[in-house]
Amino acid sequence: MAVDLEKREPWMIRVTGRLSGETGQELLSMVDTVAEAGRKEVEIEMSGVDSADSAGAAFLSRARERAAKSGVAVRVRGARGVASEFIHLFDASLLQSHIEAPRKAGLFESVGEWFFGALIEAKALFGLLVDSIYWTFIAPFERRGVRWGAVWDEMHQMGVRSIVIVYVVNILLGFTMALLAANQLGQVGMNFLVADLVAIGFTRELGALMTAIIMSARTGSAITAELATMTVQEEVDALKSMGLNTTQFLVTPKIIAMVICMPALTIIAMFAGIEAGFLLGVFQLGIAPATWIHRTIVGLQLNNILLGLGKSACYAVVIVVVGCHNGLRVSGGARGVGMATTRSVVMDVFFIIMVAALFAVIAG
Amino acid sequence: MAGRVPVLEVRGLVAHYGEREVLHGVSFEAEEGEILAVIGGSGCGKTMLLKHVIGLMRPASGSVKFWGKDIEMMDEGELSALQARFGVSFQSGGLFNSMTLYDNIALPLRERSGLSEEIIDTIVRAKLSLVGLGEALWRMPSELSGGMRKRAGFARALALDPEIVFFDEPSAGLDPITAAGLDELILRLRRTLGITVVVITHELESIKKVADRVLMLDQGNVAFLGLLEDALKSREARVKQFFSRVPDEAIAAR
Repeated sequence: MAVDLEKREPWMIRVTGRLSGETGQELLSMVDTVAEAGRKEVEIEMSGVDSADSAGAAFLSRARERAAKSGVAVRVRGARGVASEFIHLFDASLLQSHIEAPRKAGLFESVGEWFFGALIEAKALFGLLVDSIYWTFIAPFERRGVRWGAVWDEMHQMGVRSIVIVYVVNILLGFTMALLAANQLGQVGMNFLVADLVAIGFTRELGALMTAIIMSARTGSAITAELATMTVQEEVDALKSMGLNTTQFLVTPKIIAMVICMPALTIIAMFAGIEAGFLLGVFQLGIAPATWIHRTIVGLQLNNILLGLGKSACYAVVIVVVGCHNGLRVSGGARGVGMATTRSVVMDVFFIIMVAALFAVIAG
Repeated sequence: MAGRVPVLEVRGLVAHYGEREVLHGVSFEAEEGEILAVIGGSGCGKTMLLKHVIGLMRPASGSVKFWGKDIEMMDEGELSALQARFGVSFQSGGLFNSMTLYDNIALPLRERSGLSEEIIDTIVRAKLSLVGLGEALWRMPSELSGGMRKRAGFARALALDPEIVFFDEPSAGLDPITAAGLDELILRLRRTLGITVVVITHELESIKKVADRVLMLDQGNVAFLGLLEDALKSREARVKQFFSRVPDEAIAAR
């Protein structure tokens, strides 16, 4: 296996043995030498080549391209058998694809693309929201069906199976909040007010918010993964082809189930938080149980509880609609499903906090 | 060519799928430069056979030898080196969905060949042109039709200049024109590069066009092994039924 340069007229590069990556490399540098020497013509003599591989042929193809650029005429002679097949396969003039990699977008282009992408997405999300509200809260009263069997399954999966995690997380949050408040209020000798604070905090804000965040991680992501997989595997197209409305069929049962389950879970969360506060107040701060219970009852106000439950129903709609939105818009196989799921949880948290802020402003 | 070591030699291969035994002692060999068609009805164990031969699954008993070496006896490094010498094109392409077509073909080259990006670029373009996808370089697999995906799987199987190639159902689900094109390509690869080809298929047209020899599986047993001409003339009931496309009920009714 060798590559030799013979400086006769015209100059000739003789390749023998195997046209492989190594000989190809030599051949390429030799063609460069020829170009540097200012020769206008070179022959590549291949009759001694008995085998070849893709790398060798690719080097030859590159060498010819480079020679053409520096104005050297290349003639390849004597290639036989497999070698000639490989050379033919890599002949630059036969490669149909000189298509370059798509250009990376510039700054303005990226910003514009992002902006219009966001607009289109917002429109789609809003469309799905309106559609969902129609199919969930209006259509059933126009005698259009709801799949109650599916609602029941979803309630079990989303609601019943979340009870333990919601309870445990809110117990821990209750402890944390009571301790934090006690540290501050204890300095002015008003420890007993911790009971009010925990009761108001959990009924008005924290119970609903924590439940929503747990549910977005637990259920929102599951909804997206499920619908995204269905979309990728053409199940959604199959539904559409049967004349079924995807919103009615897929989204509505989930919304009904969530709107029922979330307030119920929120009640559990409120109870857990207050219970944790009580345990901490009585056993750690040494406040009399009767006092604590009295202060708690003072803190519990019906309108706060109703506000908390109302918010949790809104969070429920947010989680399902965002989850379905991302699931149905998925593209690009396994990776797409993963990305849609991540987006879904991030969007959930964002919209939940946004709704919470809106309520805080409106309810003063 | 007596005395030469076959490229692939399988002896008494027994395979299980869970509890069920699906291959009951299959033996065959593939000689250098031949096209062996593995045929048989759906569910007869063709794909299972492939998975055992390429070392993705381990046989319950029996041996698989490449160039005379038993893959059971190989360590990780040897098996990996062997796997670089064969190419596999999977039933549904097996492309990586998160990468462009270009990167799909470039992946084995980047990982295993040690060549520079410039040369890899040329090879990728050449291999994709070979299967007629030179224009689709930068598309994602999800933007390709089923036939294009299959051809891209072909190109990737050929990326490292394999000496033996396995095609699982190359023409299933393709239009006759594309399918014929793939058959043509298989023949060309063998003719020009001397590649040994094992093609798993149940497309009659394709078998008749490309195969030198035929291995027919029936419910996990070898129903026929021999030259294509002999298979076409065979008086064996199962083989005759397959090649003349007689449905099962017809045999049962007799």
